[in-house]
Amino acid sequence: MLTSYSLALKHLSLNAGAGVTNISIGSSLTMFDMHNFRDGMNITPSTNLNPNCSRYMIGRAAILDDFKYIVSLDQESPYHDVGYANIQYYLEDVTKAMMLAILDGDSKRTTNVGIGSSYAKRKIFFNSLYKERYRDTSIKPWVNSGIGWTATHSIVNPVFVSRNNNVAIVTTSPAHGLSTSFDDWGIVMNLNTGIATSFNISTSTYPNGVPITIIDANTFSYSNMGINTAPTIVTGTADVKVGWGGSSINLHLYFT
Amino acid sequence: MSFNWPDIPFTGAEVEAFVDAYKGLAESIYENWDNEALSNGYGISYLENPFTNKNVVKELLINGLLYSSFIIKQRSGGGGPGTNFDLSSSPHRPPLSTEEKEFIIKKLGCVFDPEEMRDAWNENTGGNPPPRLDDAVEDLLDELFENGPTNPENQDNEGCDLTAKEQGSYNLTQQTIPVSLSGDPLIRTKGEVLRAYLSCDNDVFTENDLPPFQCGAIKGALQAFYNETSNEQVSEQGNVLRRDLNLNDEQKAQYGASPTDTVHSFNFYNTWGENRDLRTLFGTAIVVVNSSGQVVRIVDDFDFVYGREIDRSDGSVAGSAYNNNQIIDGLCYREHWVDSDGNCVPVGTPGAVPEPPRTPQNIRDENSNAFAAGQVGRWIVATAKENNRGKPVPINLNLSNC
Repeated sequence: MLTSYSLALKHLSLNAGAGVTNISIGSSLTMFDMHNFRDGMNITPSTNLNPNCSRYMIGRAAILDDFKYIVSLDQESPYHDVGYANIQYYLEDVTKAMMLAILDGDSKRTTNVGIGSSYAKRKIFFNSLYKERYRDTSIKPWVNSGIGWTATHSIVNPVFVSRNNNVAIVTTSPAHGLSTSFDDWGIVMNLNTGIATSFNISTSTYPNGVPITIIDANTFSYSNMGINTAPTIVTGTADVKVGWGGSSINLHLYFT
Repeated sequence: MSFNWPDIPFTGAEVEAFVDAYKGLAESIYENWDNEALSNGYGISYLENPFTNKNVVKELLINGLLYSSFIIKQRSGGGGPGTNFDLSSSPHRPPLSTEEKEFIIKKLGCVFDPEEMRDAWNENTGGNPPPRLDDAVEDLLDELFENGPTNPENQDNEGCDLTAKEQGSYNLTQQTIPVSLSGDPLIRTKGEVLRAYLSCDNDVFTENDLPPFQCGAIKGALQAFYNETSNEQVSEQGNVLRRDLNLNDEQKAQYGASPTDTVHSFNFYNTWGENRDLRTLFGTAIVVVNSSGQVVRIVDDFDFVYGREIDRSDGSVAGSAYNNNQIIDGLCYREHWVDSDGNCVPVGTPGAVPEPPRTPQNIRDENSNAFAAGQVGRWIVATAKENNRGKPVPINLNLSNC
């Protein structure tokens, strides 16, 4: 495997999307990096391989009966550069698929290895990486309820929303009841009318909601693009979801 | 090929049980790959493209163990390496070789400012392929057509025989290798209908022209589209995904529908259609659904605004047989307007503006990238039009028994 790919697979997430990186140059090169999943709420596998390139590579491989043109990590191809960022995304996809296959129930917040045959677990692993139209929606992780990935944890009632600098703050009544011991809460907002609908979350884009930060017993915040909005009375509901993690899944790295 | 597992620096009963289960499952995935990863009996992979290579997935499995074990450690509670910035406890402290340091510094761009360095890194290492696609395209064309695609001896534009380039494109759609996008049943079907168009075979294309797996895939995609949409639902692209048509029994019969069936107009020019490969085959179509909610028929005319179309002003409906005198030039070559996406649309379409009739050369110039999505097909169809070739193909698929 190329050294650069090997480094990428060791979570050298030197970009803002995958972690926090600090670099200092003193008597030697030192780097600090904090790794987490790029998307801590979802499980949808990556499809960011350029489709035209992909089609070309596959066509070439088929016509020439030479499979060296399929994605490979072993050589520097003049035709196809997987990209180190993409390698990290694929690693996350496979990591999530393995946890879904191995862990009990919905695989969230648990450490228990699930009961089941190796064959059944392989089915879940592959099902997690299938193209959308081929997914088996009768087994994990795509079932709609229960152990399904997008199953709703609870429903809360927003009564006020506001937005400042693209951060939405939601006040609920009664209290939302979400424990601050966990950092993997997500939300799907379903508000009813007027400007309130600009706070809603599209489940086609975010099937398991967007991550939230709990402020106190009655309020939480989440990133939400839009104009600054004073506290506004709203009606509707919000589905609470759970993503990856637990107390924290930030893995800290250090190189010198 | 054995797995070279990394050492796991986390301890505890939960972690150990997980690591054992992980290793066992990963190795069984690899051992059973050939029987289980490719799944429909026709060599067509259900997996997303990056995961179709067994050896790539193996590397990802090996490298996924450490972080997933860390998550289990965190979930089980307690401290340990990797959980904080106590540098002595980091699980990753590989000493960098001179070459690795040189690599990193080089990619960082030697600009000693954190923001600049991050930007330089992203630019130098991230990004999407392919850096040399143009060269690759040229190589492929040379190999596809042994004596070169520009050799006049390889051009065959007489009659309705396929040219070498058309045959090559058709072959690409018919591959059934394990990881093939081109093995997609809907793309295979499109290849077959396009071949009929270019071969001037305008017989109605029916379910009898399809093997069962292609017929089933089309029905499955349409059923999913129907199940997940509602009347007048608007797509993210702003067009109406589905319209439920209010037809009398006689009108229904024209589409092969019984009085108890319902008839719907589907529009696949949106993400919904794109994700199911329906856009590339049908564009828009009429779909018949029975009283049980099952899709039972689809009718459409496989014709082109940048090629040739069927004139249905005689009252005949899409998907039915027609006479050669109903073949007309595509809309782009007639008086038309153009919408904001550059598509030829009928005169008077809201939001569109007038545009002079185009020529096949115009179409080819606009679609000269041989590997951009859809451009090869448009290039071929426009060239066929210029050579007075191509007959639209009515599609009328009875999906009841697929």
